[in-house]
This record gives sequence, C-alpha cells and structure tokens, in this order.
Amino acid sequence: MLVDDFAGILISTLVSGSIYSLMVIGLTMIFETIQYFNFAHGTFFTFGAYFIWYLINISNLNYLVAILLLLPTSFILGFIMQRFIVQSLVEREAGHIILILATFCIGVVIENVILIVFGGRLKRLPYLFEGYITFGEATMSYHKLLILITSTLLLVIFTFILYKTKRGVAMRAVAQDREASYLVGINVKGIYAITVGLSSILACMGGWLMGCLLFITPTFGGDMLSKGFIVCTLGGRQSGMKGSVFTSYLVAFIETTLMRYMPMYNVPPILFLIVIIGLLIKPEGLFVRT
Amino acid sequence: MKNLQYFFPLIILGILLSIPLIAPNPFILQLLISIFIFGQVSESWDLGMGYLGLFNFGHLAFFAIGAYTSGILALYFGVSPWLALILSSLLTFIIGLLFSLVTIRAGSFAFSLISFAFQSMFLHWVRGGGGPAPGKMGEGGATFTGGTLGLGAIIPIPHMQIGSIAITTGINKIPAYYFTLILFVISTYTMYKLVNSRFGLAAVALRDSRTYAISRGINPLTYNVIFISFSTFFAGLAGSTYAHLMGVISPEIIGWSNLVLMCCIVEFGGLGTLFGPAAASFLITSLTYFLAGLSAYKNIIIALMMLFTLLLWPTGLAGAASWFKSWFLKKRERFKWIRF
Repeated sequence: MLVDDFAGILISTLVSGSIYSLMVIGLTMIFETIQYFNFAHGTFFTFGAYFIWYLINISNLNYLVAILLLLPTSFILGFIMQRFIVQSLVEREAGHIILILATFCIGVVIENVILIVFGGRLKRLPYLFEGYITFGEATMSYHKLLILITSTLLLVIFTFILYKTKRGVAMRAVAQDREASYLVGINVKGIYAITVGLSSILACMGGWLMGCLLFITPTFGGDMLSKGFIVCTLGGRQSGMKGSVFTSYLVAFIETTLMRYMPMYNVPPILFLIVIIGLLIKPEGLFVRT
Repeated sequence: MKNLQYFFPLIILGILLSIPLIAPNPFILQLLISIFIFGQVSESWDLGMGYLGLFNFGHLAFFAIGAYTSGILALYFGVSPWLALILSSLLTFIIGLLFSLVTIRAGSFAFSLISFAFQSMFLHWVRGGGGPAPGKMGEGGATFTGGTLGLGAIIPIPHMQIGSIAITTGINKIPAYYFTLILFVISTYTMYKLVNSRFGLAAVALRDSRTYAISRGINPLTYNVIFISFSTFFAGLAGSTYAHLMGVISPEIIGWSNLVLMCCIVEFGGLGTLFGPAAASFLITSLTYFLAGLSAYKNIIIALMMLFTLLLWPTGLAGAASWFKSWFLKKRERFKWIRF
C-alpha cells in the first residue's frame, strides 16, 4: 500500500517538478539578465497550449510539425514583447512596479484575446504517444515519460546555449555587468530580447506538455505562474540552474504528497504556509549563491 | 492660503452630498456606490504601491478577506453586522501585519511574487469552499466560503441597520449612498493625514533613496509594515462594507478582471498621489459600467489603456493636473518619468 503510494507520488512529483522547473528557469533567466519578473509568463504558457490545439484541430497539421512551428512562434512572441514594449521602459530606468504592471497588462491582453478567439470552454490536447508502462502497481503513461525527457532535453540544450555559444556567453556577461558589456561591444538590447524569447520558448513548451494532462482554459497559465513564483521565492531569485531545478522538484514533492492525503482545496494554503516558513528561516531564499 | 487646500475637495464633497436630492436615479446612485468602494480600495492600494514602491499583488485578497470574514461572522455566528464590520477590518489589519512582517524581509521583488502567490492561493481556497459550514447550514451541504456559488447565495448576508432603515443596495439606495460616501471621505482623510505625517515622509524617503534613508535612521521594516498593514485595513473595511451592502459575495471579486480594473485605476490616476486614484475611480468605474456588455473586450480595453498610460504618460491624471497647473502659472515644468 505504502509502496504503491510512494511510486504514484514519485511519478507525479517528477512530472510536475519538470513543468515547474521549465517555468522557473525562464523566470529567473529574465530576472538575472534584465532585473524584472515577467508577469506575462503564465499567459505564454496558455498560448503554447492553445497554439498547438489550433494547429492540430483547425489547421489539421501533423502533431510534430505543430510542435516544430511552436518553437519559432513562441520565440518571436517573447522577442516582440521585450523589443517593442518593455525595452522602452527599461531604457527609461523604470522601476520594478512599472515593469510588473506593463508585463501584467500584456499578459491580460493576450489572455483575453485567447478568450475571445477560442471561447472559455474546456479543451484538451491529444497525447503525442498513446499507451503506458507499468511498474508493479503504478502506471506511467508515455506522455508523462515524454514530459520528463523533453524538459530534461530542453534544460540541457539551454545550458549548452548559455555556456558554449557566443550569444550565451554574451547573455551571461550582460547578467553580470550591463555597463561593461556595453563597453566590449555587446548589443545589449538584442541580448535582452533573445533572453525573453528563449524563456518564452520554455514557457510555451511547458504549456503544451501540461495541456495534455490538464484541461486548457484561458486562465490555466496563471495558476502555474503562481506555483512558479512560489518556487522562485522559496529557492531564491538568483539561485542558478541547479537551485531552481532542485526547488521545483522539492515544491512538487510537497504538493503531490499533500494532495495524496488531504482534500485538494486545502493544499494551496498549506503550500503557502511552507513558503512563509521558508522565508522566516532564510528571507533571501534557500539556495542563493553567495 | 492654507485654507485653500481644502477648497476644491469641499466643493466636490458638497456636490456629492446633494446628488441624491437632485437626481435620485438608482442607476447613478449604484454607480457612485461602487465608485466609492473601488476608490477606497484603490487609494489604499496606492498607499503601498505609490508611497512605498512595494507592489502588493494580493491587495484584492485582503479586500476579500474583509468581505468573507464579515459575511461568515454575520451569517454563521449571528454577529451583529456593525460589530462584524469592525472585527473583520481589524482581522484584515492583523493578517496584513503578519503577512508584511514575514514577507517584506525578503525584498521588494520577492514581496510582489509572494503576494501574487497569496492572491491565487486564496482564490483557490475560497473557490474550494474550505470545508462544511458550521451549524445547520453545513448539514444542508453549504460550504464555509460558499465555493464558486458565493457566500450568501442561499441566505443573504444580513444588512447593517440604523433603527428601521436598512443600508442596502436594494430598492432604497440613498442610505447606502450616504454610508459609503462617509466611509470614503473618512478613510481618504485618514490616509491623507497618514501620508503627510512623518510616517509618510519616511516612507517616501525610503522609496526614493533607500540607502540614504536607512543611514539617517529610518527603519525600513517598521515603516513598510505600518504602511502595508494600514493599506490592508482600509481594503478590509471596504470589503466588509461591500459584503453587507450587496448581501452576496462571489470569488469573482478577486478574479482577474477586478484585479486589472483596480490596477488600472491606481496607475491611471497616478502612483503615489492618493487623490489621483480617487479621481480615476470616477472615470474608469463609470467607463466599465458602459462597457459592461463587452466582457472580454472590456478587459482588453482597460489593460491597453493602462499599458499606454505606462508607456506615454506614466504620472497619470495627477501628473496631467500638475502639468496643467504649471502651464497655467506660466512656469515650465519638465515632464517626469516615474522611477520606482
């Protein structure tokens, strides 16, 4: 009994932890480079799911083609948001309240456009691969396995981009010192836009992966965003790749364990209390790099 | 000259006091009642957002805490509505105090994140119902917070009464109108006094130059906590009033569309001005009443309005007013961007 419980909890922890880590890495990447939090990130999440749904069901495209099309579209979405709207505020040295309000507005606009175009009815994406594997009493669908593999792959690719390519090195340079990177001839505006584009890819892929498990509504990204923020505050805003991923899995583990033994609607307040306890112990975050 | 600062507010107050005598139109009165409540909420939000530079995303959650506590006390425990009004705003004050004590230490960024999480977690809990209601209603299947149906959907929340006059937004709206107007004026005056006291000056100093203010002996934690907890107190008071006036509260009062509306009121009025959000409440709440049939388009229009204000004229209505004043007095004033 206990062993089966444990297997089920482990599988859900891995699944939701991977989604959270996709979300959180995107958020912290923007924060480290441009020093703001993107409140439109949840809407990008929703956008990814609806984009795939539209291409499969209305345009009748192949599933894989739709996913390949999602990558450049989501990049362009984030790129445009940063380059044409937020950049002008960043140049004016606007403080964090103005940036939060601006990104929040963009998120609300996109969300309501989605609501107008698709309506508020629940939608569900089909699985890319049907079927499941069994471990003893616990079963795991191929899609959950796909979530694990895809998110790991995406994070590996992102680490590769950050550490091995010229643009990635430039991104890390801008994160460390903006003025100095101007001096050595880095196009800071371009790097900012690329950063937001890349984080938007992570959010949209997360939206597609989660859209197969949950029902899609125009507001389901907001929920994920709040979980992402909880991970961000618990782990620390600048906890780096390792700290963020670890905290994502930690929060996912706590959440799924509570879900298993408790009424579902009591879980969010308890999760919130845990974050508060974490803040009491270490206000700057559990895994902050010194 | 010193008496002149109260000149325009007193004229506006006179006009507002005489409106039910001139035009007792239920539509106008209903609109003005919601303007006063929203104005109070947005002013109190501005107390944190504009004067401290701390973005409390969960401000509407505190509004809802006030509303739900008041409703629960009056419905399930039979507390008199007047006592419930006081108790619920005090409870909101205490929750705001504890919340800000814990979260402000993590810094202003983390504060906005954790308050966002607070808002959505609270919304979840309210939607879920939070267990069966105490007493007879719980045996009938009613939940503690009423779930998505809303609190007071089965038996309405009792109204406040003066003698035999019920303060409600039912048929006779005039008592409710005067009640909300008086609350609005009192809370605006209190906030105005708070902002212009040494607490307000210390808060503005912390916002504009944190390191220098700390080195001059201003304790950031104390002042931030005082301001945030006072702003939640006024939000809770407004929420409790709302609950007793309407008789029913649904989780939608802290949903996205209300959040966007409040944000837009604060930003369009001008951050850190107090009278700006009050004036913007008149404009934008009336605008939403005329756009009410357009649901999703309404949110888009309001969000775009806020975005363009941020991009083109971030000081909002208050900034426009001071610009016109300087233009009128033939003193050139440079256009200012907000830096916090």
